[in-house]
Amino acid sequence: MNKKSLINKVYVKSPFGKEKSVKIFNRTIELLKESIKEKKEVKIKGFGRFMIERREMKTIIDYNKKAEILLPPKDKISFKPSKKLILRLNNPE
Amino acid sequence: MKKKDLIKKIAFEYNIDEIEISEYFDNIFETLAITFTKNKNVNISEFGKFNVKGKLDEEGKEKRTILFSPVKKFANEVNYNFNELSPVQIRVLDEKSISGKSIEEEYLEDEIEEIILIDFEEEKIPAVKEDISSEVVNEEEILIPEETAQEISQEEIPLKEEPEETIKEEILIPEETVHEIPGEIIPEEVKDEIVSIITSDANKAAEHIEPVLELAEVIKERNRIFDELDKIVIPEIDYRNFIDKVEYTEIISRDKKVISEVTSIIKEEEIKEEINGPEIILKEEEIREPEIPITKESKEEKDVISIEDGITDEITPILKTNEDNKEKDSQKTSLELEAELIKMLDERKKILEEIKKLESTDSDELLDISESNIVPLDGKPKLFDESTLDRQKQNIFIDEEGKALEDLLNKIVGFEDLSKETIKEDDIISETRDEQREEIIPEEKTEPVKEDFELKESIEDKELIPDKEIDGLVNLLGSLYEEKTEEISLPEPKEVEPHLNNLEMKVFDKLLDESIKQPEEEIPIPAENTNKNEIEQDLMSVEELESMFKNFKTEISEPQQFISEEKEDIQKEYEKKEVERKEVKKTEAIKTYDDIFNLLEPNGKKKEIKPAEVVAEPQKKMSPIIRIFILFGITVIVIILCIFLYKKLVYKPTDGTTQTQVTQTADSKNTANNDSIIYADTNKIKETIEEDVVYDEEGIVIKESEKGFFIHFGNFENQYELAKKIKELKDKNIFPKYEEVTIESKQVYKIKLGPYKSLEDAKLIIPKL
Repeated sequence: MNKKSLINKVYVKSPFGKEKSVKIFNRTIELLKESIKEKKEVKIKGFGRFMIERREMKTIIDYNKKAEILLPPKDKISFKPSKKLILRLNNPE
Repeated sequence: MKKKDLIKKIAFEYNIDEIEISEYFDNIFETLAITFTKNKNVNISEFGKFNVKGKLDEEGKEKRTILFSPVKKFANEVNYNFNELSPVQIRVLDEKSISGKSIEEEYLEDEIEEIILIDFEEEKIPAVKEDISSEVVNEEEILIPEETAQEISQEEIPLKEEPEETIKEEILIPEETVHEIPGEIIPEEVKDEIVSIITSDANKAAEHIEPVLELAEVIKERNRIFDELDKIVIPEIDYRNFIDKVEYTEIISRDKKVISEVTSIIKEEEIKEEINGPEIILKEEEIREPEIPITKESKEEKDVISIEDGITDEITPILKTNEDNKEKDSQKTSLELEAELIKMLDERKKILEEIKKLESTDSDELLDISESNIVPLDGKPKLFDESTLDRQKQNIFIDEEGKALEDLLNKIVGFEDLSKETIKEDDIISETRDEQREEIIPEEKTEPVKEDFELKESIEDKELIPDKEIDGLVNLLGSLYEEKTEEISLPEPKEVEPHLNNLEMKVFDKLLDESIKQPEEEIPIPAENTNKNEIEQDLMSVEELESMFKNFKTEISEPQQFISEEKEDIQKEYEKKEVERKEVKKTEAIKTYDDIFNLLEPNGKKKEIKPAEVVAEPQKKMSPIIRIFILFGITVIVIILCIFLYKKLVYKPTDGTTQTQVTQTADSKNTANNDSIIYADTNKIKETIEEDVVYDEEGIVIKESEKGFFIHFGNFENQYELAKKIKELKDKNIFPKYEEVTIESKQVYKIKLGPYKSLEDAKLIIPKL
């Protein structure tokens, strides 16, 4: 599913037109991004939450190169779905 | 941030009710959830991708989860702290070490072992006694600081973890959990041990408590630092990021240090292997590197000793050799030095002779050019070239007077000092060069002589020179050329017919051109002068010679008279010879090529051949494109002619039967009346359906059709005969029609009359025709 097909399904039920619904959708994603960049959690009820997890530095062995490599630390984005959503997925009606 | 905050912000920006937007969001997330339940992925541009994945449990059921993979740009924006860092290759592994531990673990283990040893020593201590006396508490108050005392008094604190693990984590990985709850640092068992030791013996307790106290002090300091860091507000960068970066950089730098140390050690070992015994360099370094506190006097003494011991071994032999040489030089006499120099010169001469031989071999190949490229082989600068002097000897200095000139010039210019030793040896080479010239190009001798001196003397000298055995053509041409120097008028080059293929004629043309051009041109430089500097030197020398020659004449007046008298006699003889030659040449004057051919071969065999060749050449100049066009045109014309003749002679149409043709040819020759019948028969075949023949006599046919009866007659090949016949009929008040009919690919004209109502009416007209 694309962003375009998602909006086409949604804007029919909403009181706004199509153009305004697209603008609002893009604005929400921008706000989500900004809040994630500031390393704040974003919770959405019934859907999940966006987090930042730090992977600390570690060594890896490349068996092709036969060499040990030291990876630097990294801030990763992680999405944890809520319990309701997982129940829905695992028990579809 | 929560969903409510999002809704408020957007409602404020777009001036919309919050309820409408909340419904809008609910729709979005519900649709997303429905798509996930259908095992479909969602891709939102500029944000990321939600993928549904399933895993099997231990029981065998599927467990689905959602994984979010952000866009690369968005992931890099989030990871702004560590984007600069890149993975580093620490070392290359052998096959053995791949199965072993990683490098980080090895470093950590080295640090851990020291700490763990303390713990094991503590474990060896005998079992704990649970009784706690009041005396012990008093001792603790004295020894242990306040915080630890409070902790021990607070026995309610639950401690579950084992001592080893806690110590590892707390010391190595500083995290928030460490300094938030400092009470957890000292585990329970350690405390019990401490208590037991204190109860048993006070002296032993002091020994065992000291490391614990050290740990406690370390922890205190650490907590203090963290507290201070908590107070400091760093808005953008957390201190954790800073520590991670520092650790990362430290590890890399530490590896580099290790490598550098190892390489330095290996180099030292290699040097030791190469050089047996003590060295200078290592001694100095070994003394300098360790910073052991030594008194200045001792240092200086050691340095001095080491340097003296070391340097004298190696450097003294070099000095000794120099000293020996100096001594030997002093001992040598001047004669020995001269002998050495002579040896050196002999070696040099040998080398130069070898080089000359090589150049002489090369010169045979290049004939004209090689002589110009020769460089003076001796390194010494020379005012004269050897070759020019040889010429001058041959040409000028033949008389006794000339010898006197030589001596004078040699004294003035310093020619003796340089030449006498060298030139005598080099005469061989100069002779060889002269031979080459005489054999190949006898003309060049005249040119340089003209430049410097009078013509008469040069020509006299030439006459004295005997002719040599030369090939026929060259000899003849050379004789012609010599004659031209005496102002013979030759035909202009425009009259010359170009494009002659014979080598003989080419040589002849070259010689003609040279003879016409060279006297008019400026003085050509002799061919031997290779370098420009040498040329300049030679020009200067020539001027000096002239000036010296004039001065010599003026100074010595009396012998000049003898010279003049003798010269007059010679001139008179020469003039006589010139007159004789001119008389001969007027008879043998060259005006055309025919005369030249007569000279070359008086039999005149080649006259017949050469003009034929001259005619043949312009045909060869025809460009290949034109030839192709001509051939193409000829072929086209031939093909057209062939087709035309084939159509006329051979080709025959296959329409008619052969029998009728034969009868036609046979009958048409005999009688003309039968012809009409035959042609009528042919027309019948075509028009049987339309018309039926009713009457047929004497070439006249009457046919019946729907319109009426028609009369057909006549078979005229020409249109002229048809017009005659029509006129005759018009005079009889009969107006006919004519038709064109093709029979056997021939056009034939027929006359047609009608229509008539009845056959009898038609028959009435027949006698009028």
